[in-house]
Amino acid sequence: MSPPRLEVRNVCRAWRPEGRAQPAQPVLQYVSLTVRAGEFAAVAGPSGCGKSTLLNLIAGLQEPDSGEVLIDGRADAPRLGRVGYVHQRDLLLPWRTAFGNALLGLELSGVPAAEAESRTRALAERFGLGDALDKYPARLSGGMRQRVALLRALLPDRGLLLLDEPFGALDAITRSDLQYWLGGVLDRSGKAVVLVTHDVEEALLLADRVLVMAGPPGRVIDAIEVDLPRPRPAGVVTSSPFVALKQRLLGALSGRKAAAA
Amino acid sequence: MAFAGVSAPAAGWLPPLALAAAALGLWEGLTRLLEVPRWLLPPPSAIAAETWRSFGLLIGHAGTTLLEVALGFMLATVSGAALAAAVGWSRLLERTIYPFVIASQTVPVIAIAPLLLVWVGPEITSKVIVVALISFFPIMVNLVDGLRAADTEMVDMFRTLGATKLQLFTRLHVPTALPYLFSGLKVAAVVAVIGAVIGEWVGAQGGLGWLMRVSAPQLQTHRVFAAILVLSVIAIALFAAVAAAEKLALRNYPRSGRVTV
Repeated sequence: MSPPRLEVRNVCRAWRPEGRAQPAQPVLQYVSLTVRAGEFAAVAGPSGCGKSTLLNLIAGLQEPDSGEVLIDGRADAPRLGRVGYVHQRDLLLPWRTAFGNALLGLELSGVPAAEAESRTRALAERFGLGDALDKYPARLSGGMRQRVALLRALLPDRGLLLLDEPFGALDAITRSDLQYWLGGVLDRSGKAVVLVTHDVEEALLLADRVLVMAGPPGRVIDAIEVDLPRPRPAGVVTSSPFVALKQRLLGALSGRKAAAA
Repeated sequence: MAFAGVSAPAAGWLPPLALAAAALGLWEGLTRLLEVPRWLLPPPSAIAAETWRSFGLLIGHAGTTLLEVALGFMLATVSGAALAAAVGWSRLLERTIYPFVIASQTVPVIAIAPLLLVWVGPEITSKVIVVALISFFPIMVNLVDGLRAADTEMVDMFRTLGATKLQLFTRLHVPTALPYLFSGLKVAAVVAVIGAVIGEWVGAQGGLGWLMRVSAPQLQTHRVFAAILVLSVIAIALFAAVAAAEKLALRNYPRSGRVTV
């Protein structure tokens, strides 16, 4: 059996305030996580529990103080550039069209222009972005911009995709639409996905498994299997299995408050 | 914007034009009324007459000054941009070079100009150098600020796509810096004209600054003012040219002109 796409082993990370002789603040303490190809894992937790730091460590923007991060079973290879990452802000370059933004990843990897362009157009069509490609970000709605950002992250076709509250900046209606849309896009894509969110419904809607984090210092306190049909049927949000899972997840999240108090 | 039945573009010009007419009228009236000697403060009518009468003379010298300004400005742009790129690329170079650049600017140009005259001679070269010395600083400082202005999240996004340092520089930092560069160029364009006048004042064989310096002791004050008028027109024209270039270069940038995503 091939190694899991992602393995995080007992990772610790502390923030050291510069200069003064103050003790380091632990941000993550012995966090572990395994995600296989085709699995969708959500990480839910309150603000400040270190979820974004966890993603930064996986993506290679930071290194853990102790513990390991393995991509496809390897801890020694550089992770930067090998993991897809979607941020909460779309971070589109204002001076490029949606098309120019979408192919940024392929361009930076050195993919020849003709191939990059045709791949971008093809995937953009499947995303329903065909008409928007020639527009500049200033002309696009927040939802469209975030879809372009997703397109940009998915084009290099990395096996692992990280999402940091990708719909947090959007209004509730757009957010709901995009959640269903994303679920459809990633279904059967074979990718391993880690979604960080504090939106309980979003976690249950998209993930196969939800890890509950508490903190600071960040640690995993619970893991909930999400046994709902794929693809999620319309109206699943009000179905009783969903509601039961939601109660369980909310309980796990607020249980943290009781423990810390 | 329409105003009392006048069309939009004309209405924009009316307020400043009206103010200018009022100020000139006041000037003309007061000098006549108080019988101010012509060699002390000529009325606008005398200045206009002199401008008309000595038009050939003024244009000839304007050409000399304009040449000095153009060459000096180009030299300033190239050297300012090159130094800014070096400082923006390498923190080591920044710490080594930048303090010297700033310190060098504290030496008043008017003290350096006579030295240049002795070292380089009274021909056009010494003037070009004075112009370059004075106008290179705003270009460099603004460009350095612009090269450091990119959002850290944008930088992270680029890094997660696997960007090299060079790719980050050319595809993120340089486009981010463009609005800042143009701010610097606009200031430099106007200051360049001042530099040319200083250079000519100290020692030259022609140019509007030279003309002013020889006309003043001859009490040809109306000619001095005529020269000032032509210099102002040159400075305004240069500023407008840079502003037009800015509009073209930044046509796809968001309205604010600064890039904050």
